[in-house]
Amino acid sequence: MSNNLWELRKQRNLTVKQLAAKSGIPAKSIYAYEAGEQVKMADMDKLAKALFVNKTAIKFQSDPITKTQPEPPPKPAKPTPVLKPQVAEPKERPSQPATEGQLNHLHTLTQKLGLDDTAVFLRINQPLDELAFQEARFWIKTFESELRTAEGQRPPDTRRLRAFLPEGVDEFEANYLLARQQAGDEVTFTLLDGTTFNGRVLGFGSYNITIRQADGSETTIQKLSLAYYHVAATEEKP
Amino acid sequence: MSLSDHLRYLRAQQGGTNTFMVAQAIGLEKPTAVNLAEKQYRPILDEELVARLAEYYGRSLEEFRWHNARPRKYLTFYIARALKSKELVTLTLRSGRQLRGRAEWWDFGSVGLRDENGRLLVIQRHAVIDWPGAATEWQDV
Repeated sequence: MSNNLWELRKQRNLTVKQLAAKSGIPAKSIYAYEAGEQVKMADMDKLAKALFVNKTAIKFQSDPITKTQPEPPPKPAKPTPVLKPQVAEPKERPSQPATEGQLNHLHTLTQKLGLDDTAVFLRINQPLDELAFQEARFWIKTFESELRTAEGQRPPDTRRLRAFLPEGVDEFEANYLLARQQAGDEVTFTLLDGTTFNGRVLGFGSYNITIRQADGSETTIQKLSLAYYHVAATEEKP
Repeated sequence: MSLSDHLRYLRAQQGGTNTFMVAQAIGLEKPTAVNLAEKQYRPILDEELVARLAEYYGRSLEEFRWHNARPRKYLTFYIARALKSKELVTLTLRSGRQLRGRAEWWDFGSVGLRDENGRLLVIQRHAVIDWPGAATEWQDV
């Protein structure tokens, strides 16, 4: 059963302007279609996609909007100053599918937000892999914003601060080093060339670890020269 | 060891060379490509850049390709899979030494591996040069 265009739009809480942006059809045409003008075939595809419905669900000629739900008329255009050049309307762009990078990023974001496939489908009203380029952009922005909010709500000491270079100290390693430093454990560090150092962790930065050796000397080990380390004693403290 | 880690290691061995100097030496105006190549978690796709860098560091292109086929992302896949299946992990370090154990955690810089003696080894990911199925068994993670 097909529905009036304006009915479908309102069911999705969209304004004409928003539907125009989603579909790439000028708002003027949408107003005309909703007023009863016959929808062009090319626009029908775009409208169906933007409204997440089958083409057959939209009436070719909509009934006039009922008076109980009046649609506000478009605002009259502001008078343009005579000397100001007119800004050209943006050209319509064909809707392209989302790129592989966008989809990968969306998968990562939804995973971080703890959303499974069903939850994602319910949020975006279609399978993730079928998103168009612009839709993917929109959802990336939305999910990133939600993730930032979620991260911001975590206590400051559990917030993840990642080093810039790949060899930098990250979350688990930072916790491990901090525990060894606080416990005063003797740690054995093995460098890439096999050289070993024994000492207690005095402190560490993103790219180095400073230890005090048994003779009292302090040594700073660059992370890039380090292969692995472990607590020197057999019995490891928790 | 990924090619990115290998590149940072080789540059560090030169003592004081920055990426701007490397870029100039291989005929690039800006160091952007070199910077990115040194920090990538996935393979470097620009074959010409790989070849130019190999020539600059006086290494064979085969060696660079070998490292490029073992990026950090693939190691992540191996460790994450082992963490799930509790399988034994074997990591070969740059020195040739092999470390075996069960993965307990991993992060962007290191892997926590419990060895047969019960010690928790914190292995630096940039020190891991190879692992079983390194260049063949992987999925992007």
